[in-house]
Amino acid sequence: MKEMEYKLQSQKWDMGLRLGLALIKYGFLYLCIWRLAPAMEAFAGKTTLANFGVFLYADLKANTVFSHVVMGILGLGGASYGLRERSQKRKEIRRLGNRVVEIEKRWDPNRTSSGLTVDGRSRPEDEP
Amino acid sequence: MNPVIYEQIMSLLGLIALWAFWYYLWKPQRVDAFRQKLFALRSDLFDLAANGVVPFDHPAYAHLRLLINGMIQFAHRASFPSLVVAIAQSANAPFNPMAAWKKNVQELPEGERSQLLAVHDALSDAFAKHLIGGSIILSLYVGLRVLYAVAKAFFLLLIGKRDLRIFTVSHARSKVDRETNHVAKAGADRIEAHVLYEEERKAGLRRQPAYAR
Repeated sequence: MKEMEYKLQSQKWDMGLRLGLALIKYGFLYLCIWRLAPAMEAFAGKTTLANFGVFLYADLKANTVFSHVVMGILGLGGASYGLRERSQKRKEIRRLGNRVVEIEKRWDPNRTSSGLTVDGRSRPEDEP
Repeated sequence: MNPVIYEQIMSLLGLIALWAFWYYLWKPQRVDAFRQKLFALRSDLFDLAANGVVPFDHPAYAHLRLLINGMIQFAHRASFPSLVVAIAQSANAPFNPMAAWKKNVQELPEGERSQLLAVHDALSDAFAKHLIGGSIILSLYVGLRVLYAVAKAFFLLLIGKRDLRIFTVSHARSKVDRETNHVAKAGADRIEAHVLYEEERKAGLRRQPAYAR
């Protein structure tokens, strides 16, 4: 009976935890958008995109243009490099994973699995 | 256009970019790196069994593999809040599967036992680092503990109770590792026990009571 209670309690805690973490994640985004909306409204109809561009241009003063460009290249370049590396790694996992499983099963027929998808991702039902 | 509104828009867009970076680039990357370490450890464990160090059907091997599999599967959910929940829950746990595993390990001869324990220690270390690296609160806490240890060492040096020779990079690094393990290992043990319990249940190694089937 104690085991059943523990299981039920675990499920309750787990649900609470998932809900709490989702609230933090999406709550923060909601807060940003909620603050962003009135700021956008403030110049809607009064300011054109070109006007916004003038401000952006004024912000990028001669001494900061270079650093903005470098930061942009580094940021976007780094992110796209990381994403490309990740997709390459997943391809490799898919390619080699099945072979490892096959070899290991020959030695250990009762081999247990990690329960990930074939390319090493969490299964959708395990996602928070 | 009001410059204050312009600043506000740029700051909020920056915050949204940071949010996307944290949740969709940084976190998945950390989880992938952690999983890669765990796959390497699982491979080491398999090699131990394939080399005849421990039989494939020995409970010490089977349960350690289950634990690593569980950690791989739920690596994306390891966080400071889950650590807190695991600690809160552990008081009501009907039994501790980690204690049962340690008992099984004790049955192995000395050499084999130490090799299996080394795999488990590497797993706990990797988990502790993953947990602390992903939490600002835990990182700050470890940082404060390290600062305290450094201040204490300097004080002892000043009053002549410490030797200057211990102030080396390797000593500092081992101190940080010790503090990291000290902070995370106690909690990591609870999470390991919970993960092993769930994995044993899924693999059918735990008998389900008749009323629960």
